[in-house]
Amino acid sequence: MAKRIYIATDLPDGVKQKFLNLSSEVKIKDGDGIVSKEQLLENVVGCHALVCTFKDTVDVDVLNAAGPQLKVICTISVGYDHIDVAECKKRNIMIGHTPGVLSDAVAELTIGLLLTTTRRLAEGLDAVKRGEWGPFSLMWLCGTQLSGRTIGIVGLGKIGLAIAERLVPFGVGRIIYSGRTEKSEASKFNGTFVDFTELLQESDIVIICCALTPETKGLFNQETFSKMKNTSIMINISRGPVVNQDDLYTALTTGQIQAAGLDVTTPEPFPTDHPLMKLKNCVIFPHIGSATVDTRTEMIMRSFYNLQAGLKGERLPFSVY
Amino acid sequence: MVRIYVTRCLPEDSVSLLQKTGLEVLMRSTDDAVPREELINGISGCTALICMLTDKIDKEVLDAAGPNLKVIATVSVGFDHINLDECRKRNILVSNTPRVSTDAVAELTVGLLLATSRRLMECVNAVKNGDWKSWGLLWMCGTELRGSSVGIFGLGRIGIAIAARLQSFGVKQFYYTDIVEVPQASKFGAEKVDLDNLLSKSDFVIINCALTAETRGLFNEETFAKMKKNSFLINAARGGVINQKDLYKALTSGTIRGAGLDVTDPEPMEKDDPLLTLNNCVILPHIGSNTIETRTEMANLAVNNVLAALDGKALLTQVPY
Repeated sequence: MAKRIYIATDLPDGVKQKFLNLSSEVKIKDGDGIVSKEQLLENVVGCHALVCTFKDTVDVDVLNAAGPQLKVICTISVGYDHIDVAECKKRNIMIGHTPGVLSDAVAELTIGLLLTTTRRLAEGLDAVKRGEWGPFSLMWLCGTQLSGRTIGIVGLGKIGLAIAERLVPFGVGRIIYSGRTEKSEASKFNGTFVDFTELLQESDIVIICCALTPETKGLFNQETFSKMKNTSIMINISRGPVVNQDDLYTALTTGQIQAAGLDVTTPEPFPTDHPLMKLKNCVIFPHIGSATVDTRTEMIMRSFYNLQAGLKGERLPFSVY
Repeated sequence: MVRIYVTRCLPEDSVSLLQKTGLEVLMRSTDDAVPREELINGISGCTALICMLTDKIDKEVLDAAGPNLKVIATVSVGFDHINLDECRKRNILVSNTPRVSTDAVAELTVGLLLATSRRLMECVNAVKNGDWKSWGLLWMCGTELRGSSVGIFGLGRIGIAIAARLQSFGVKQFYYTDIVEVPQASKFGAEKVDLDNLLSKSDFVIINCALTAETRGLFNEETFAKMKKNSFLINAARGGVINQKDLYKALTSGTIRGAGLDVTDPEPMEKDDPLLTLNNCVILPHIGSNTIETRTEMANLAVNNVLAALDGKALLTQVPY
């Protein structure tokens, strides 16, 4: 019996055929745009395998709609907070993800987001387009420099480490980090392990790199912002729900912190009329951390290997559990 | 009676420096160019002048100043706006502010490069316009520095500072073109090549040369034709090095992939310039040194040059006649 596979995302031409060759019953989503909940429920019926992205919520409804023959879910992402892992474990459904390939792309994007925020690049381009670029002014559109700044990294995983390594040549001051345990790799950049409160109090730039868990949900709230320097800049590249957005809005508009750069929000896509959108000191990117042709292709290939193994009932090369 | 005349409002730190001296200071209260008549009135009888490059210090202004004027400190690297010959005749010392902005400009250039290669401005606008709903795996994908070749045209202090920052992004090979051998190039394994080789081998071409008779308009249709089709051109040096009409053609015909400019010719750029309509062209309003730290340091240097002159000491950064 042919294995039915639903792929809830468009695939680049170069790799599409590989997936199509895995079975005679492969359905691939057409074109851009996110698969709706209804479309997902409809298309998973009778599937043995599901390939999805972090945009697709794979909950009990979806697992029930699929049926008991569903054996493997491959998410083209590192994070898997969009999948009900506990429920999958109960049903013996394997879950594959794509760790290890996107650290460089995400770290690079984080530096881009940081510089866009500290050096006010979006404001700059906007000023040119509006004809607001006038003759020389000493203090117009001045940003803050990275030289000598204390950087605080919340969660020193692969991505946090890659960010720290890229920041060193910018002449930053201390790099400190918080998390559950001390990391030996921190010696690569003379990083110091501190508790969360000390990180908030000491840092000029706070970069959030931790996973989204019940402990980190809403971690950045009114109380957190009140401990930060009011000249500080907050960068979030982890997951939107780690930051309480209402409290962030208050912090940014009352001078509790100076500016924020977000590559992740709640929800995604972010509504165009959200109050944070109107703030000049809040930069918002549409979750493009891993958005490079090379990295996305590598992630897709990892999912392919997960899928291939899962269809054979073998252990996945990149398994969530 | 010593009087210092300042043609612009200076940053807080610099004002404090001046106030500590107890000397009489006449300072314009705003950060815009002083009208010529006000300049001529203000400079009359003063001992020291702190000015900007928007202030034309010619024979007429020097005559209006009178015989007390001992020193002119411009808060800029350039001094084309000052008639050095007339200053020499009158024994007026002149200072500028070189070498202070290296870190700020290098930092901005990397930000500009990332804004171009990772399509950051397109993404900011996509979020604002509600285009985020079109998300797909290859939506808004950019190009990584990892594994790329970077060619720097003009490896002076700023070029070296840029290379140092890019090195930790996984660049595979640096090239440079310069009239001299640059010893520090070995730190990045940078190979010295002629311009044609730089153009044909580099995925990222970064212009860092001075604007001279030889470099004016150097990047034209012929030059772009020698570049790789997927390459990016970054210019934070001087706008006049690039022929902008030819750049427009190159960007719209797929001759090169994208360009990021912090400098244009003329400056400011007209808001209806065709380059501003292109998604693959990022333009910033010459904000290379626009950080509070660097502009303050420049202003402080001007103040300290003035104080040195008034003390009969050698200037810190004298412009030779």
